[in-house]
Amino acid sequence: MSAIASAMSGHHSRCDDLFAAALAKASQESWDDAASEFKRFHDEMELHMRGEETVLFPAFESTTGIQAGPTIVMRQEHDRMRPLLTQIEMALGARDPERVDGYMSTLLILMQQHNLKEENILYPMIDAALHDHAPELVAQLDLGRNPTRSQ
Amino acid sequence: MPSLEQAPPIWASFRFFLTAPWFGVAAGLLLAWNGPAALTSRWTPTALALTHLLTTGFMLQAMCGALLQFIPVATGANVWRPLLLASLVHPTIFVGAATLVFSLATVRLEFLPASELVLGAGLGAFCTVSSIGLFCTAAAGVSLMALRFAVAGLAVTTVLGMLLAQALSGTPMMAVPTLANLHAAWGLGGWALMLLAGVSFTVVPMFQMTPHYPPWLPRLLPVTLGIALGAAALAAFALIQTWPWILAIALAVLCAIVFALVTLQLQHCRRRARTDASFAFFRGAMITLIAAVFAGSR
Repeated sequence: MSAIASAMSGHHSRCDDLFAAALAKASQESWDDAASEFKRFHDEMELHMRGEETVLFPAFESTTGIQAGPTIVMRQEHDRMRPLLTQIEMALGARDPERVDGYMSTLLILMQQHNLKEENILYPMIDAALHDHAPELVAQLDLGRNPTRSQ
Repeated sequence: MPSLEQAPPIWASFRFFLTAPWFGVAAGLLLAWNGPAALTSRWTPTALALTHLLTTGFMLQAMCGALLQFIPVATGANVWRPLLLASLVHPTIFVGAATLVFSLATVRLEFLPASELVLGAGLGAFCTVSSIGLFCTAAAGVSLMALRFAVAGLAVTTVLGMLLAQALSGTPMMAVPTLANLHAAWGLGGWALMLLAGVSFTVVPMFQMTPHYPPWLPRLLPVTLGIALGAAALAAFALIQTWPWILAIALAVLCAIVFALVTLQLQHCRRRARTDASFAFFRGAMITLIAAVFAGSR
């Protein structure tokens, strides 16, 4: 796996782990722990999406000239996930297990389909287009760690 | 180059899902109408019709429809003109399956060649276009190898079905039971189990929040199952009745049991406490697969 795909897929894994931890706490109805775990997940997700929208996608668009392509679809999906993240936080605050479970299940499906498309389609395209600038771009993304995809 | 814009519109898959369940309903009605006598032998007209209502009518339609969405998203492969492909493949499977079932249920074998021609045309187009996408993709997901084998398995199953139709309508090239066994082996092992395994490698960890499958399984299972089916074909076409069949059965049993046990173990280690419908169906399917292996071994 190339540098950008590896870094971004690794960060997906980190987000998955945080999401799973929040889901486990919510299943046990440990609401305070679930809320704090979910906040960590939300922060990492926002970091990830913002990094794509402000660093990765613009670099890809300016290099390839593809403005109305896959990056638009990914941005639209980010916009669909953001309100769900807020709704989950509200449901956790209200300690409403039905709403928490419904929203988290919906987010899981949206997020995993989104990740799959990025990892199998978009990241390889970005790696191919921006191969020479990969180290600077990964540094600019500042994902906080140097995660590796666990298989 | 793969492209998200080329992911097929959802209607390309939905049209298959819209008609597939009615074949399941028809199977239920047919069984209720005929009663237990229908299942006294695998060769009764009703048993043959029931089998193809479920496999060709229900399963095949649902699997082809789902693959049109799954292939681009899970493997990054482009399926060429998916709406056009769906508008050819869907009606041919629908009409071909209905004609095949009518022919088998009423013993009007003169309709078999027509049904096989229609099914052969539709599935030939599906396998060709899917294979081009799957073999040309630069991506390498965990499902890719199993999906390549599965589409090849569907192609072989289709050809064997066409040979079987010819044999039943008067020009046998080999004993019908041998050909029927081979057709069923490739359909269930090379297409259904291979596809289920390929999809599971991506979907089970992702949506059920289990650990990933051990990396050796997506690599070894398709090859091992492929060797088993090759050995079965050798036994049938070379008329060698002993060791290739034993090898085929042993390897196929090994694949099915290992896949089912690994999947159940992963489900046991899932990070999500809630048991939803997908989880329950997968667990039920794996237990049923193990039970089917033992029932078939008796």
